[in-house]
Order: sequence, then structure tokens, then C-alpha cells
Amino acid sequence: MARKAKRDLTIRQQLARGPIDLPFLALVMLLTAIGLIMVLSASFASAMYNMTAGINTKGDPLYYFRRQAMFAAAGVVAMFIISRIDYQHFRWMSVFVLGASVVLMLMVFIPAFGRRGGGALRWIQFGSLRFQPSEIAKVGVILYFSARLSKRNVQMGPPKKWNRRTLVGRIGEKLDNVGFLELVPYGVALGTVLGVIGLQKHMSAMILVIVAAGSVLFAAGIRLYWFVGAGAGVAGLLWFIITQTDYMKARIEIWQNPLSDLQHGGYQPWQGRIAIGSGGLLGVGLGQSRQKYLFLPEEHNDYIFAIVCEELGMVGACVIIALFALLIIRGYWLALHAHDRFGTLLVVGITSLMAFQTFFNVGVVTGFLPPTGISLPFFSYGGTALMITLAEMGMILSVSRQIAAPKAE
Amino acid sequence: MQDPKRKPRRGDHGRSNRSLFRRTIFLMVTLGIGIFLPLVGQLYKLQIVEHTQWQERAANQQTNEVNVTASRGTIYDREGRTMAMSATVYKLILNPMGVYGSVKEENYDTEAEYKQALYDKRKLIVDWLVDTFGYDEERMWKRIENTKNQYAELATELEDEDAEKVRAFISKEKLSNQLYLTPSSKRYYPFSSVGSHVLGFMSQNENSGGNKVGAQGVEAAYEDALSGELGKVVTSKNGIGMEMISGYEMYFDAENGCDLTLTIDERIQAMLEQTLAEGIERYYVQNGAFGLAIDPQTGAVLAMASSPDFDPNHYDQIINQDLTQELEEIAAEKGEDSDEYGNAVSTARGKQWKNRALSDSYEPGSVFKPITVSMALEEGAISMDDHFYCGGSMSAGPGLKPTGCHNRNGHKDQTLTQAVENSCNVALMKIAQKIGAETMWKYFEDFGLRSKTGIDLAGEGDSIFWPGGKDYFTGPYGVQSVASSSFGQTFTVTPLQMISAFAAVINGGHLLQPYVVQSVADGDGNTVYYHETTEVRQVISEDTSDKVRGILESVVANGSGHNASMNGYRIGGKTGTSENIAIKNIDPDNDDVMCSFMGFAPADDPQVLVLLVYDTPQRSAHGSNLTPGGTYISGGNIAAPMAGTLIANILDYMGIERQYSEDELAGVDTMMPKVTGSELTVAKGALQKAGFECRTVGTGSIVQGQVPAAGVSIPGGSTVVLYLGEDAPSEQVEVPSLAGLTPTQSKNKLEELGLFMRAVGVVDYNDPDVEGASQSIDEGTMVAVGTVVEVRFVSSIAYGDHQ
Repeated sequence: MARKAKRDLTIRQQLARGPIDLPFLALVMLLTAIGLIMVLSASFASAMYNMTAGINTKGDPLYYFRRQAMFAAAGVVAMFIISRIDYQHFRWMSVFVLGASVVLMLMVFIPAFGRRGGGALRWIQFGSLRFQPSEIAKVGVILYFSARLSKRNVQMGPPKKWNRRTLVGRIGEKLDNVGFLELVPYGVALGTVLGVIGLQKHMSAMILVIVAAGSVLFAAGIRLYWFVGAGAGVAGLLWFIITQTDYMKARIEIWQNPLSDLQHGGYQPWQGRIAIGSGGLLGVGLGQSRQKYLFLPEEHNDYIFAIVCEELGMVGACVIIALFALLIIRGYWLALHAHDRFGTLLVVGITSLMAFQTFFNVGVVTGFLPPTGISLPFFSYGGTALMITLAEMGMILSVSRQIAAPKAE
Repeated sequence: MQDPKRKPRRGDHGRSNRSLFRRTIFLMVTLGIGIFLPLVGQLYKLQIVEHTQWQERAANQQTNEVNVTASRGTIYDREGRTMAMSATVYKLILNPMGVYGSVKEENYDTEAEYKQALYDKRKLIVDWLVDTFGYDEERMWKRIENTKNQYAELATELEDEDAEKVRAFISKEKLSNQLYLTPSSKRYYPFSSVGSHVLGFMSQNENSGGNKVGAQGVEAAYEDALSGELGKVVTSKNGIGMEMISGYEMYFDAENGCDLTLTIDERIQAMLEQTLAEGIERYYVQNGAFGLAIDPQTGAVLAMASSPDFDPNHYDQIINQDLTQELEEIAAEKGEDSDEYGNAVSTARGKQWKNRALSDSYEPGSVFKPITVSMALEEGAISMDDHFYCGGSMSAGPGLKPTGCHNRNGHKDQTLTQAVENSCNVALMKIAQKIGAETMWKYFEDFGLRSKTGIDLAGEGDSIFWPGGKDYFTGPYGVQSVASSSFGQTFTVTPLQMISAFAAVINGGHLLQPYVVQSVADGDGNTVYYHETTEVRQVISEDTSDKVRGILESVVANGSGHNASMNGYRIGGKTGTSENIAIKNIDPDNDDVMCSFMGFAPADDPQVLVLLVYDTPQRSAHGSNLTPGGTYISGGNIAAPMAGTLIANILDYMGIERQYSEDELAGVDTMMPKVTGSELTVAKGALQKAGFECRTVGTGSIVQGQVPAAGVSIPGGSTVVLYLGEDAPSEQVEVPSLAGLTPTQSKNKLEELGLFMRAVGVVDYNDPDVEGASQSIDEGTMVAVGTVVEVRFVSSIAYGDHQ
């Protein structure tokens, strides 16, 4: 685009040309680079042996790394492009992103597009582009919620007058007073998205959508008792599922003691723990993992962090956890300093999503949480997922541009 | 916090921003820091606290350990003959899962084609195995169809030739992961059952983890030295068990086992076993026999045998004929599947495995008498000049039932030597009284009878003395036991304890620790251990030992051990005929007796000491003292002749020169001069000079033929045949039976046929009680004229030495 002189720009346009937040960018680039190196190290063996069903690496040990690097490069480019977009445009885009993600998720069930991965029908393929539409749904929900909630205080008209003479009116007023009615649109949107993800039986994506949406609602000031209530409801549901269904009981049992059933799911957590435990304080050395030699399944996907622990030891693993923590803290710092409520909520949503995703992945791999398939941002192999993550980072950077520079003393 | 009752209004801007700020800070703290703390804690738990155990698990699955077997040491006898050796054999392993996996379903279009292919593959393997090794086809199918199994052991000891066939089949059909060989080792005992009890055998036990380890004997006692150290190759492998190309490897060298050189001499061992077997057959011995031969100067065990025995190559097979026969009877009666049969087989195995010379104790009986005598002489309780009167029985103390001597009429007056020659119980009881219980007890301990000998073999037994021990023995109630113990009854010792104590009596008083391993050499041939003679203590003086040797030589020369005498050898010894008092107390009808003989030679410088014990020869009738063959049942009539022959054979083998008395010298082999062609008178002169008699056949004055031919050695005093006017006959003659004939009768009978007799054993041409017991060439054998037949003579006088 042709660059206009600064004087010809509106104030908003001038703001959108502010400097991006360098610490945040540095953390993103650092994590992306380390993640790439770990993909190279972790995927080396399985690429060489070419034993993964459905993927033909032709025995090229760099097969996964090459692909991941290409996507990382594309992702970084996408991140910069998105960071240059004035994030105010995301307000109107949000509805379309959300709508598009729902459509895409439904398209998974059209045989021409839908692809199976790891047994479940969750992928969609356009030409050589292959991705999980649920990744987009997460961003869509965050964008839509942030955009709508940011107007909660400013663009709300005078309080609606309820006709107290009718029953509907009285109930309506009551619901309005406890803050229920304002939640209805969010509930409908969230319910729709969750329902569609549910069709794919994608439990982990549902959890992430819920927590991402929840954190935006939380930050936006929705009354706490709704969270308490929802939390209690979810806890009750979980309790029911865990104690009353054999499937979950078995998974909990495997979580507590992977050896109890190595044939049905215990093998991977067990091998993961062997990898982590054998790493010790300093690790066996970068590239020296033994567990990646066909012992640990998904060693370059969901369980890549176990290889990190094995190769880099507790010290290396803690450094990487610290980098994630810094990224997240810097994210919230940016949220606090954002130009407006929309910026704040958007950054809070993306950062929270990042935080939960990291927490769930590392928690599962280390055995702190029961097994569920959530990938580790920046690290797990998966080109489109990495691109989407970097695109989200681009949105945060875009918000960071409009933070007012501290006034010179 | 916002008031929930209030509706948001424009004016609430500040409040709402504060809420946003606070809640974002809250998220920052919980999601930016809080959630990571438990994760770091979990990492600490796995990587620091439990690190060692996870590392171990990782190493276990990431590495392949291949054992490198150490070859087990060889066992040699004292002359370097190989008694036990190991050779590489192979285990044949079938991997049914591998066979199943080798036929991939996706390579076939239809289910039926796939099933057929799998069936063909299995059939190929099963058919080959059935054809080549004769395995049961049905069983083989069952094993190959058990696809959960990866390891089915088809054969454990495949030899090279068969292994080669398997290898060819595997490489031809490309079955490397489905059928394979793993090396293992097998123990060979080239002399089969010779020395089986000393050598032991190799078998699995509950702690050996599927490997065979030494059971019994030297194999067990020296297991650690023989087995060596397993070596290891550690390689890294990946998750599907493939060895990694760049995997780190570590080698731990296997250390081969040590070689042992035994004190056992295979030839002497074979002689001893032969002697036991012959005695058992000749005297109808019912409960087996056992024997020992040691070097009394060092304690080295030259031979140790127990019958029945086994073949360590096939240690669980019943090889003893009597036991086999018993089993066949049970099998015929109850069937081979019956419990009775199974129990009988395991009992029979136990009997064959038992080394009675080492692990059982028995009442030594009169063989013990020299020990009593030696302690009395050593203590000065008696002297060589003392006389002992035997009236046929004697009471050990006031109020006790008289104990009878085996000679109910009494031996009357006897010198000490005569008392031992007669094996007089009364005399020994009197000697015991002179020694005193206290001193006797001390000597039991000094002679090593109260403790194990400490021989380097597994499974040594121990003696059983009276339950009250020393207090009982020396107290008022021990009087009868003191009396009985003087002639070796009412307590039991192991044969090994007995022979060690006896060795001390004749070797100058030195109690030596018996041993079977002379030296140990490591895998490189360096000697790492050499047994030096271990003297436990000096029990009696040289002088006393010398006196007792003299007495014992006299026992063989003139007394109850006479049947052990062999011309040319100075043999000393003592007979024993012992009862099992413990059994007899329970079952008065039991008339089991152990017929034994302890003998040594040469008497002035003992080189070998032999103990033979035959357990219970059959009686011709209940109450009879004769075997069905008419032999008087006693040590002197049964064990002594066997021992005499054995000792003579051992001395000959050891190359110890014979010493002849003047009488004996006449009968020594002499070379026949050439007299054919001479004048008869000249010939007679030459023969007389050589010490031969002669008779002539035919008439004439020139000797035309002679039997035997010139240069042949025949015993001196033999009557040679000179042929006058005719040639010596060239046809063969039949050897006659000489059993029961006196030496004179035998000599005449043989010489009539033109054969010659070499008399051994008790050769007294004037004693009508001496008779042929065995002959070197069986009756009915056709031999050339002039052949020498060796005849073993024994005295048929009843040499009693029972109670």
C-alpha cells in the first residue's frame, strides 16, 4: 500500500502506525525459534524411520522440520501483516470470523473437504492447506466477545423499561437486574460454537473455547456469581462424568497409574514420564533424546515437551516455562495499557488462551492433569496451528501499536 | 467491585475500568505465574526426586543386553584326564508371533487368500520341523498357532550338525525372526558314570533362572569357580526393538570358568566302582555298597564311589539294573501313569544320586577297633605285651546283660595282636574300661569323629553320637555305650570320617583334612589355588601308629583279614561286620549287616587306604549266616577278598614294586627257557634251574616240542610239558571251572590240560579251607595250550567279627 505522509493521516491512523511492543515480539520470536529447533530434534527419528501412518516422509529426517520451518516463516510474515492492520477493523471482522469458523467446522463433515487425523474427523483440506477449523473458532469467539463486550458500557442505550404489569415484563426485569439478559447473546454464540465442536467430539477444543471466552467475559466485568455458578456447574458435570462413566474412570485410572493399562492409553503417558524423568536436572543434551526413537508416540506433536525435558533437563524446561510465563505476563501488561476496552479484552482473550493451552499441554505431559490432546503453542508440530498462533500474536502486536508512548518527563 | 444491583450507566465508566484493570491483574497473576508453579513442582518430582528410577526404566527399555556366556571350566582327574567338559550347543526357538506377523493381511486381496498364505507359511515350518527332528506334528501346530507367544523353546541342546540344518533352512526360507538359534552350553562327562558322585551333574534349580548350575559334588561345591562370569554386550535399541546404527555399545568381557584338577584318579575310581559292582553280584548284596580310596599321607581322595550310581550325562535316567527291574515291575502292575510309578522313579533317582560315602553315616563295627587300640596304646592303658582273656561274653558293668563275643566259646587267652586278629569284642571292652570314658570321648573328638571333615564337596553328612553327649557317655548310664563303642557299635560316623580317622592311625598320627580338588587354574591357565596338605591335629604318636600298623598287617597275614592278603603285597587292615542297632532296636527281626574292610598297603609305608562297605548280603535262608552262594556273611569273607584284589590292582597301577617273601618268591613268574631241540637231560637240567617241574609226553631223547613256548612267563613251580618224538599240540583247550577247588587241585586240573595257574590271594597249598573264588578266564572259554589262568583263592573259614 502506498504510504501516506503522516500529516495526511487521521489520528486513528496515526495511532495504528505506532511502534510494536518489542519485548513481546522478542519473546514470540524466541519461542518460535526454540520451538522450531525442538521440532527438528524431536521429529528427526520418526521422520527417518517413516513409521507414521498416513504420512510418507520418504525417510527424510528433516521432513517435519522443513515443513514446520516453512509455516513458521509464513506465520511470521502473517504476524507482521496483521500487526499493521488497525485492530479496530477486527470489530466488524469478528462476526465474519466466527461465522466462517462455524461453517468451516460444519464442512468437515463434507467428505470432499473433511479429513481424519488421529482417528477423529476434525480436519479440513483445501488443496494442500490442511487445518483444524476449531483453531479459527477460538479466535472467532475471542474477537466476537471482545468486540461486543467492549461496547457494554459505552454504547448501551438507556436502560430498557420493563412493563411490570405483565408476567413476562416482571420476569424480564428480574433477569435484566441479575445480568442474565445481557449474557444471552454470548450464551447463544458460545453454545453454537461448542455444539459444532461437540459434533467433532473434540473435548480439548471445547475446553479451550470455554476458558478463552470465560476469561474475556471475566475481564469485561460480568458479575462474579455467574462464574461461580458456571464453575460449580462444570465441576458438578465433571464429577458426574468422572465417577459415573466407565470411560472417564478408566482414563483417570490411567492418569494415576499409566502401567495399569499400557494397551489402552497408558503407554504414551508412561513413555512421556520416562522421557521427562530420565532427563534429570541438566538433560541428556540437545538432540540426544533416546525416547524419540519410536518409544514415545507423538513425540513431535502433543508430547514434544517431554522431549524438551529429556534433552534439556529441568533447567531447560524451566527456562522455556519462564519464557511462556513472560510472554503471558507481557501480554496482560499490553492488555492493561491498551488504547481502549476492545484492545484490552482482545489481548486478554488471546493471552489467556495461550496461557491455558500451555498449562494444559505441560500439565498433561508431566502427568499433573489427566491425558487430553492439547498441543503446545510454538512447539508442537503442525504448520497451520503455528500460523494461527502467530496470527494471534500479530493481533496482540497490532493492539500494542496504539499504546500511547509514556510522556517524556 | 461493581454493585450487582445497579445497572451500568455512562457514569460508571471509572468503576468499570477499575474492574477491568483489577480483573486483568488477577488473570495476569494466576495465568502468568500461578498455574506454572504446580507444573514446575511436577517437573521437580519427576526429574529430581524420582530421577534415578525413571533413568533405570529408560535404560531398561532403551538398551539391549546380550549375555556373552562364559565357558564353564573343565574338570580333570589327577593324571589330566578330562572328567567333565563343556561344549557349545544351541537352543532352537520358534517365534509364533513373528510367523503370524510375517504374513501381512494388506498384501492380500481377500481374506481367504490371506488365510491360505498364513496357513502355507506355518505348514512350511511345521512340516520341516516334523521331518527333520521328528517332533509331534499336532503339538507343533498348537505351538505355532499360539500367536501371543514370541518364544517357544523347541530344543535346548541342539548339536552343531543339527544347528547347521536349521541355519540352512532359516536362510533359505528367510525366517530369521521367526525361527532362530541361541547358543548355550552343554556339559559332557566322557567317562559316563565313573566318579559320578564326586563330579555331580548340571541341572536347573529354583534360583538358577533357567540356567543349569552344578548340583552335587564338585560341580556344586565349585560352582562359582567353574561358572566364571557372564559377559555382556549392551547396545541401544529403538522403540520397536531394532538395534540402532549409531547406538552406543559397551562390552563387558566374559570371564571363563576355572579348570579343576581333582585328586581323584579315573583308573582307581573305575577299579573301586568295579570292585563294588563285582562284590554286589558275587555276594548277593541287597542294599548297595560304597567305598573310598585315599592317600593316607595327604588326605587326597583317590576314589569315592557309591552304588547305585548315575550317569551325569543323563542324570535323571535310572541306570542301575536292580532299580530298573523294580520299576518295570511297578510299571507292569500299576501302569506308568500311576502315582506309585512316579514316586518309585523319583525314589530310584534319589537312590542313584545319593553319595553314601559322603552323606550317610553308619555304624563302623569292628573296623573301629584299631582306633580304640591306638588310643589305649597312646595313653599307656595297655601295652603290646598285655594278654586278654575271652570267655565268650562279658558284662560291661554290674547288673548289665552280658555282651557276647562272636565266638561264643571264647577266644581264651590272647595277646593284644591276637585279640585284634580275632576281632575279639571281649578284649576290646576290657581295653575300653582301661582307657576310661572321659579319655575315649576326648579321642572321639581328636580323631575328628565329632565334626564334619570339611571336605570340599557339597552335602557332607555328620556323625550321630548318643543324645546325652559327653555327660551321658562318661556318666553311670553310659557304661554299656562305652563298652559297645569300643568295637564300633551304637554310634554312627560317615565313611569319610571313618577313613580320615583310620588314616591318622596308620600314617603316624596325623589327622588330615580330606579333599578332592588338588588345584584350580583360571581361564588363562594360571594356578590360582593349590591344595597343601592340611593337618588338623596330631592325634597319636608315630610310635603308637607304628605298633598299630604292625598289628593290622598281622590281621591280614594271620587273622580275620586273611582274605585280603595278596602275595607280593604287604597289606594291613581290619574287617568289620556291623549291625544297625538303631533299626534292630525297633525291629528285632532285622538282620541287615554291613560287611566292611579297611585296608592299606604297603604296610610299612602306606600309599593307599581303602574302605569297602557292602550293605547286607542276602542270606540263603532266614537265620542263615551264608549267602545263597555259600559265602559266610562277614567283612572278612566278603569285603576283605574284594579289598585285597583292589589294593593289589591300585598298587600295580601306581607302580609300587611288589615285595615277596621267600615262600612267595618260588611262585613268581619266570621266563620259560628254550629247550626244544635239546637232549631231554639237558632240558630237565635247564628247567630245574629255572624252577619248573616237567612231565614228558611220548618217547625219545630229544625234545621236539614244549609247552609253553620259549620266552613265555609262567609262575615258578609250574609243571611244563615236553614233547618227545611228537610236536606240541596246536589245538585249543577249554578252561575248566575251578570254583571251590583248593590250589593244589586247581593246579593239577589246569596242568593236565596243558594250562598253567597263577595263584593269587590266599595261596596255601596245605590248607584244605582255601578255595578258588574267581578265575581270570571264565570256564568254557577256548584258549591255546600253555595259557596262564589267574586264580584268586580265598579262605572259606568263617571269619566272624559280629557282636
